[in-house]
Amino acid sequence: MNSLCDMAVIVTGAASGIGRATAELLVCKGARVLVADVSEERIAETLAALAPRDAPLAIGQACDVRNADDCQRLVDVAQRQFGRIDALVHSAGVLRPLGVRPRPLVEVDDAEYDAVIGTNLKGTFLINRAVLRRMIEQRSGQIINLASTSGRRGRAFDSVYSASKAGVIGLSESAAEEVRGYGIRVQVILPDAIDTPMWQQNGPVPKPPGALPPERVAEVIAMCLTLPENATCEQLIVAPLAARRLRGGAGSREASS
Amino acid sequence: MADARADESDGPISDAEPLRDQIAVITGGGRGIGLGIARALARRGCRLVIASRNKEQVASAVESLEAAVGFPECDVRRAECIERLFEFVVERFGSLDILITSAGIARSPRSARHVPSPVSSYDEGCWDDVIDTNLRGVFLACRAAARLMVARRRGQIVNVSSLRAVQRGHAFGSAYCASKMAARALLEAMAAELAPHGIRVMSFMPDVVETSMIAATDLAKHGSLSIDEVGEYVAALLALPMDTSVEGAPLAPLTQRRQRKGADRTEASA
Repeated sequence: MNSLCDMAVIVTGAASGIGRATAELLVCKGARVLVADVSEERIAETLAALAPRDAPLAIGQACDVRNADDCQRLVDVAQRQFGRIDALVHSAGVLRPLGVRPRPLVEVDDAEYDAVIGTNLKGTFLINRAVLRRMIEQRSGQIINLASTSGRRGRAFDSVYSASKAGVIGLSESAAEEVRGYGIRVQVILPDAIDTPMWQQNGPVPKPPGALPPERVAEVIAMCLTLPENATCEQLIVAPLAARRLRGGAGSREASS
Repeated sequence: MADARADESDGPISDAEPLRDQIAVITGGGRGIGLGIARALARRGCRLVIASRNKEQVASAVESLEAAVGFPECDVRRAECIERLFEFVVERFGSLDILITSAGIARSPRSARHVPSPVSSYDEGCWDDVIDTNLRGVFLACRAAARLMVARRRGQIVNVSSLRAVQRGHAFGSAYCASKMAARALLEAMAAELAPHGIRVMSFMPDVVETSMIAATDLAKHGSLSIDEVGEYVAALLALPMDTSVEGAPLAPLTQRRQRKGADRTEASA
């Protein structure tokens, strides 16, 4: 069983939402964490919040995952600071560009498409490629990519996001098969409704009631990181228990109407 | 009944020992995956009821575990056995927190081993044995547990399913695959029904695990998981905060595909 203590982990999107909760939990469990985020300011905030937790080994590095050089620099920093990379938790992602309202596919412009696919799918490709090159050299390591239940079943007004997350699932599974021979494990986790700042990208759309706090996904990520070395979890869905209730409720309403 | 953990909904730090002193009933707990789960839960401080048809296996499991009691001669196909099991649980512990349904068979003990059984020649009695153990047995145990759990508004149920059997039907495994797919649907329906009562229901879907069921086949030649590894994983799932649901909990050996590919190449070149 892998232990989180002393594990050297890169967390992308680490300054908010699931990434931030994961960074906090891993630091609490004794891991060394490289806090990566697109915003320098939010990295500083996150490191400041982590500091009281007695985390001398939480460090920060700005990284735009859309940029291959940024991804390589991130790997170099991790290598230099930690001496190795045990794990990548890739949580950087966007629902839609800030200030853009949810809209149907027929109204989505090219810029929105490029922005969402660029961060979610190409970003996953670039960061996985950069990290895997290092992990293949060291013949060990593990990656957890964050997809979404929207990657399994597309949602109205989230067409590009859903497509990007379906792509993340496919990419993760292909990579997993390619690198398991090196003793590297790639897993993909599919969170359902989670109460993260990503909802701000939804404009006027209200958060679903009963959305889980991101700390819950962090716990599942920690669980997947500590699986026995020769075991792997495939397409794990993390959902609020209450969502079952809502879904069940919707079903019964349909049945009675 | 007040339970701080079940109601806890904030904070990143999980309870250090969320399963301590919980009552767990495990059908098919005398061997295989059921035994692996029993050991992992025992390590986390659960009190266990090990139910199985096989007296000797129950006795040896109980002897090797801390805080476990046995319930032998429990044939999950028979309603009266399940009824007695849960009467025993209530008498002894008042109720239960966790039900693991792990009693399952790949083929009827009456069927000839190593003989492929296509549907065209599948014996009706053998069909009933598989379906009654893997589906009816799960239904009976889950129903009994759900009644107790709903009254207390807490509890967890895990059925030991199969990753391969729920993906698609496999040749010569018709009854097994049918039973496992049906049980998964049963658990999904129950999960939706019981979530409003604060009860978590999961299908655990392992790939090849080192059990006697697998030993009778050549499935493990490309890698497998130990019963203790899968046991630890199920215990970790059960220890997750109760507001979190993990759907379709699949677990596969990491080495499998790589070795399979290697084998294919050898076959291709031969």
